[in-house]
Order: sequence, then structure tokens, then C-alpha cells
Amino acid sequence: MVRKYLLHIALCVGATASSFGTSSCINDPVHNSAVNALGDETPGYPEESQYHRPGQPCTTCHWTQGPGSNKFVLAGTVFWGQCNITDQEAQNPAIVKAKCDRQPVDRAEVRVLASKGGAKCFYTNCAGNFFVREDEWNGLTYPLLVSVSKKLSTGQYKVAKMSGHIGREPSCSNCHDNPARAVSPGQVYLYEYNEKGELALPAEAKALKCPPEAPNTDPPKECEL
Amino acid sequence: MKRARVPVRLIGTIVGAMATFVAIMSAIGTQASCASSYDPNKTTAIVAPDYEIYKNYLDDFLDRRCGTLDCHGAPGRAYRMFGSKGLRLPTGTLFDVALVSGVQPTTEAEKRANYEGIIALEPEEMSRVIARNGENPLSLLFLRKPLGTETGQPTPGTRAIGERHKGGQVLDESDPGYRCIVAWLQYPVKLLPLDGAIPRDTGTPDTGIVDAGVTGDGSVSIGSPDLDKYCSQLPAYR
Repeated sequence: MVRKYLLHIALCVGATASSFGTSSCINDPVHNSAVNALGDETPGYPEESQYHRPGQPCTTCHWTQGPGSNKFVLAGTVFWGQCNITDQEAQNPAIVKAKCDRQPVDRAEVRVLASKGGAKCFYTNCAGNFFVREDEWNGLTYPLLVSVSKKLSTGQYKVAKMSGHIGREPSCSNCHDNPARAVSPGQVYLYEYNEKGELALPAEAKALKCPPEAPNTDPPKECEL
Repeated sequence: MKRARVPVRLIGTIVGAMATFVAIMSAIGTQASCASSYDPNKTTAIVAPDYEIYKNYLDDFLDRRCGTLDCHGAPGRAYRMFGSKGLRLPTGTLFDVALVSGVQPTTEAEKRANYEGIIALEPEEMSRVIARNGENPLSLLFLRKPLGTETGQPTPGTRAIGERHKGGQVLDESDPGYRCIVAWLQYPVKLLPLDGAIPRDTGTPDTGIVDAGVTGDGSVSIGSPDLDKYCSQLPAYR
């Protein structure tokens, strides 16, 4: 008799635990909708790798509810060049993509100063992506101040500083989305001006390849402050 | 089998309670049916804080502290801010590029919208605070929230005066920004009847309430020790 009851209790506990375990990824329509809205993988970048989906909101998947395997406390992508677009063009997603899709910046240095938890610097990979896993920065506390820089082959540095701070959003692209408009300053980008004073791109902005086309050099993840 | 007896007194109490209930419900029904119909043109006058001081000192400070796109620069916020580095005031279309985040300076219309946004959070309570010359400003959610922590528990060693704030504690009572806001609320203003949600400068001079004192060149002559002391620090203090 006692054994029968124990079996019942075990089954109930198991079923409950199972339903709680799966509820986080199945039963939240808002989260599911956000994940589905990301669409297919970006062509040209290895799927399900650190190089995938540049410019997309990383923590939609890499957060508590998954389905990404790691939780990121901060992540984003750095691109070359600003996207200038008219009001009319901005309403056409195809034109936005054609005019605003940019080359990612490889090995840009992303410097982060936290309100508590000190400061750290992270490199972007060849897809322009950088990410900070939860266990890589214990005690990281928002708000954050962030700047991005890149040392060019000429030895010159290109630097972009956020004019404000990040209040609590861990994904850059949830605010930095293309095109630049009333609700977004555009993607995170570096650029330079040519001698005519026009926006221009340095030589580094071209012919970038990511694995598997190019060997994965696996650069160090953290840079010096 | 012995049947249980219900005392007559208990029956009387139940009947009495039911009669009272019916009477109350019918009274409520009568009240509701006699309520005045909705009047779209009806307005409620409020006493608003001074706009010139807000525009010249507080808007930039609050924009920096609170108005990022991931906080109160998000369109769905009850207290939402427009500003140069965050959300821009839309001019009509969904993909509006007339004002771009991070490009043009904050416009007068955006500052006005931010000012109205603060008042619109709790218009009646704001009226009461201004009418009593800023006494007990912490009755405003606008001040309790930024003093509160993310968990709602006070920071060790501080007074528990804040209210849970998802963005964490962004102001402190010793903060010049906080002091400037309090001084702004204490500043005597004209009575400003509302036309819709927009305050109009139609105050009467015989109310004993004085103007903020805008000088000929458009700058604000503050003229209050606390305003002078704290608000003038804000352009350099973020």
C-alpha cells in the first residue's frame, strides 16, 4: 500500500517538474513570437555559431527562456558605415536592407563601464558580434556606459562613444536597429570622413570573411582597457 | 431523527441584512442612472509647475537620466520622454525620419511634451503638490519611483521612501537633480487652467501667485535660493 502511494507521488512530482521545465519555452506566446520573428539564419554566416545572425537582438534567444544555450548579459554587433535613408525609403524593407546592410567590424574593441562591477573590454569576431555570458561578468550592474573602437592598419583609431547610457537592455539591436529614425539611432557603426567631408569606409571594411570560408583564428575575447 | 431548529432571531438578522443589501444596491443603481452623461468638452483645471524652469534646467537632466530608448524613451511608458539621444516626437509616419534619434537637438515641442508627460502621470496629485507650494513632494510617484530600488527594498543605510523601480535607483535625496526637482515643485506659479492637456498662461495677477520671471533674453531669472543652488549645477551634472 505504502509503495503504491509512493509511486503515485513520484509520478505527480515528475509530471509537475516536467511541465514546469517545458513551460518556459513552450507556453509563452510573446517570447515564442519574438523568436519566430527573427526568421531564418543570415546567409553567409555559420548557423548556430558565435558568428550567426549579426545585427539581430541576441538576448531574444540567449536569455533565461532560451532557446539559445547560453544566457548573455550584454551582446551586439558593430558595423562599418552609417545608413542614410529617406522617409519614403524607410518604409520599404527591401530598400532598407539594400541600403543599410553593412560590413561587420572584425576585432572592434567594445569598452563597457558598469555602474557596479567595474569595466571590461571585449573584441568583436569576424561577424562583428560580441557577447558577454552571464558567468563572464559576475556582478555586472546596469546602467552601462559603452564605447566602440577599432585600430586601423594605418595605426589610427576609429572611436564611437554612446552619447547616453544603456539603462537595462542587454541586446544592442533592440534599440540600435536600421534604419535610423525616431525610435532608433540606427545600428552600432564606425565610420570615417574622406577629404571631401563625406562619410567613407576604411580599407578594413571590405572583403571580410568568416568561418568556414576563412579559418577561424579564434581571437581572444577580452581586450585591454 | 431530530431536526435542527433555526432560531427566529437568526432568521430575522438574515432577512434584515438582505433588505439592507437590496436597498444599497437599488441606491447605487439610482445614482448610476442619474449620473451625468459624458462630456467630451469638459476640462479640469489643474495647478501646473513652472514650464520655463523645467525647460531650461530639468528637461536635459531628466533626458540624460531617464530618457534612454530602453527606459523612459520607450514609446509604451506611462512616463515617456522625447529627446535628442532617445525617442523622438513622431511627426506622423511609423518610419518617421524627420527627427532621428541621436541627430537633431531636442525640440521645444519635445520639451513641452515631456513637461506635460510629468503632469499627466498624476494630474490631481500634481495640482495638490503645487497648490501647497511643493510641500510633501514625495506624494508624487514621479519622485518616489527614481528613489526606489529594483527590488523595492531600500539600499542599506537609506530611508525607505522610494517605490519599486524596474530601472533601479537613479536619484538620491542628496542629488542636485532631486533637489532641483523639489525646488521646482516649490516654486510659486500662476494658476494655469487647462485647455485639454496643455496649460495656458492665463493666470490672474491678484491670486498672489507670481510668475516664474522670464527675462527679456528668454533666460530664466530663478530668484530662489534652492533653484539657484541646485538647478544651476545641472548642465554640468549628469
